[in-house]
Amino acid sequence: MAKELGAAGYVFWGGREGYASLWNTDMKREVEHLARFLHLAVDYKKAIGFERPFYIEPKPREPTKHQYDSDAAACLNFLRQYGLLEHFKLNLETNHATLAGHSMAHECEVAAAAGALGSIDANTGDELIGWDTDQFPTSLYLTTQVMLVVLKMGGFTTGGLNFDAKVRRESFEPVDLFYAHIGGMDAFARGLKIAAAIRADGRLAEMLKQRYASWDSGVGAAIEAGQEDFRSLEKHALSRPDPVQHTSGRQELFENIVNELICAG
Amino acid sequence: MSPAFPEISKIPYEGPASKNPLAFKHYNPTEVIEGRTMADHLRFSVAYWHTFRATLSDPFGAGTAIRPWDDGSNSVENACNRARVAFEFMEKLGAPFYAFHDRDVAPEGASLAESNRNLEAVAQVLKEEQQRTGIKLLWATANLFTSPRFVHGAATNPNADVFA
Repeated sequence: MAKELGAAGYVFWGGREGYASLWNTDMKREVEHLARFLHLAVDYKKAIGFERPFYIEPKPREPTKHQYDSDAAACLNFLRQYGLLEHFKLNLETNHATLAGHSMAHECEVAAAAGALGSIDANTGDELIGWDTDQFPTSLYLTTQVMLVVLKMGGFTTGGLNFDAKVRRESFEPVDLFYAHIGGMDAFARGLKIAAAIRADGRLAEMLKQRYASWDSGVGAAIEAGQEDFRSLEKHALSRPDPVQHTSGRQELFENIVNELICAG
Repeated sequence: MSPAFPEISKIPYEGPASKNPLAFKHYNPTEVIEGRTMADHLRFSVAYWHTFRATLSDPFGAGTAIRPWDDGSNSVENACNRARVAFEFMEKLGAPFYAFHDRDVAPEGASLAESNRNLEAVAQVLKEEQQRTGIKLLWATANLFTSPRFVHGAATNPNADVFA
């Protein structure tokens, strides 16, 4: 049916693919069955000529006590282990990230680093609440961070920003559906503009580059190129002055510049 | 079919100085950023389940949602009407995409065969509305968690018949 309606992709969120108790669960066997199911899905997709990507959407728990596709890193490990990574990208959701104990920016970076950030469920949670609240995203810090990762990876191809969010129980009038979506869309549009401004400004990227400058030449570059081993590195370490000179991480300065650019947007 | 949102017309972009709650202050779909339009960068999608099926109940209270277009029944006719309302909303909002679970758009039947027939019927309406409005399906998925048959899991169910 997805093919019939021209869907740009297909998602798997395994809400019941996990356990309530380890006592009555054969976890290894269940995970193998999940991998088998997804392989069958890939086979079927090929058989019917559906040429769009599959996405896995991680969530750590709820309704299960532990969901196997817990977070981006767990999903990537599972996909790699069972030979599925070439057929899947990830669909990341803010509230699922925070339930897993990560920021959304972190989850996006993990997925993007693996070339697997396919799509995003744009919502937010309440970090003081222990369940999935699925609220509409309004934080410019959140939307800016997400759009920075999206811009860095070259943008969405088949995915997008899906508002997996519901109005509050108290916002029961039809017009509230409009207010909620307008707010989320404006927050992300603003985040996009600020992310582009941050990239154009260049200070943060330059400071980051400087921090890792010792890896761009000399022994750092040689390590990255696979030209060093423990013996050669020991020689190098013995030849360097003790103690090594460090420079500050400058977290506060980075945060100040972020604030400056967010407020200017 | 009379409009479900008669007082609301297409949401315009009015810029950051606007105080109109039914206008965009920053989302200007044709504005170009880093060589691509905002619409193309953002690819906004509406979730069918939260926006058109949520009754707004919670574990401690009954649903509060006022949805005059929904007759509250599980009929295919209600589902088809609901699909047309969904597209009216998305067209007025200006969202280029939507997403759904199979069970969001069509009611489950007494058998798998009937469920599939119901899905076919509503899919026809969705297809027509997609063609009429240009709104596309970002992704679809299957609800493999709500029905009691998935109580112990779907693909990870200890009962191989459920996997099937």
